[in-house]
Amino acid sequence: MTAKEFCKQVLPLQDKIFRLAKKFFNSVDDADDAVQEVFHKLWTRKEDIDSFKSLEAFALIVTRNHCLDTIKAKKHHVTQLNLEHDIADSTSQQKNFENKDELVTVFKLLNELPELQRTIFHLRDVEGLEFDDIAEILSMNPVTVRVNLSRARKFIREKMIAIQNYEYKRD
Amino acid sequence: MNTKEIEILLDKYFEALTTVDEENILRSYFQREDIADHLKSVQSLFWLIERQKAEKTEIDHGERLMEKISLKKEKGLHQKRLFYFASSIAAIVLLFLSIIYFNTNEKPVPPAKYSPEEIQLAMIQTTNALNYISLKLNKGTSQLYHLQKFEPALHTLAKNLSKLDREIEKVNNQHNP
Repeated sequence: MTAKEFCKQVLPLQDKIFRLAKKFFNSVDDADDAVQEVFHKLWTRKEDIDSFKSLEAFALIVTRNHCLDTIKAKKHHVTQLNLEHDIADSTSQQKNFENKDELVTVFKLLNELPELQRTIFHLRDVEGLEFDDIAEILSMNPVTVRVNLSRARKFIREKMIAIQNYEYKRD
Repeated sequence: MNTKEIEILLDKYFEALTTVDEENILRSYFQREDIADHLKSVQSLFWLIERQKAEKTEIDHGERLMEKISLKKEKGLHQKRLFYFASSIAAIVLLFLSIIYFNTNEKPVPPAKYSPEEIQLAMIQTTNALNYISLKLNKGTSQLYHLQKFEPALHTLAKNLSKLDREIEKVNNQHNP
């Protein structure tokens, strides 16, 4: 595989890798660095690509491992302030910007999830992957993926309702 | 899609029993403004998902990647050459070292640990053996004296042949005067 062919194959995946990495770091710069790192790792392991169901699955496996390793090595600290700023910034362009607090709340709830559930939620709800693909990426069985996804979604729903009830009572 | 159907889908969603398509339906439903009040509690979750779906990197990773890959390739080639060069030098050095090592390790023939009697005995035995060999050789050469018998015979043969020559010449002269 030449460098050009390789780029043609992996570049369409850059946003997926970026989004997954951003889930871990909550930082655009770190996520972009991760994209480069992951691309480079894929290039050095291009012979292994065929042994995976798809290049996408392989890329996401490499991405997750890279993020986990980086966080472990650097004891990466996620700043919640930046996160709120990020959300507020982009939602102000939406018509329902009065709900931006709610969005920040949900964002925080997502970050409260254990890593595995958060990743499953991301791969399913944001990337729209099938359970079988998620199962391959996380090397677990599809039923476990489904159970964890349900747990993650229910956790968010319950917390959201609890917060809303609390605010309702306070008002 | 009516509220009732959405409610059913939503229940399935939280049990993680919806398909990707059904989840897309749910998400687009919650982008609307006129949703039922009792469904509003989860609306922001779908908004957030929709927002995250649209997130994109703003960097041209392709260009950076190409740069990195082609750089790495050159570097790799260079390293490979350097490695071959270094290993060939190492091999030559190793060869020389081993030659030196084995040469210095070749111990000089140790001085004989034999007593003078033994040496004398060995000398005698060796001389005997050599004598025996020469004796046998002489025995073989002694048979060669038979060759001497050829000599007188060859002389008479030569004499007779010259006689024959002369006779033939005589005959020739008589026939051709």
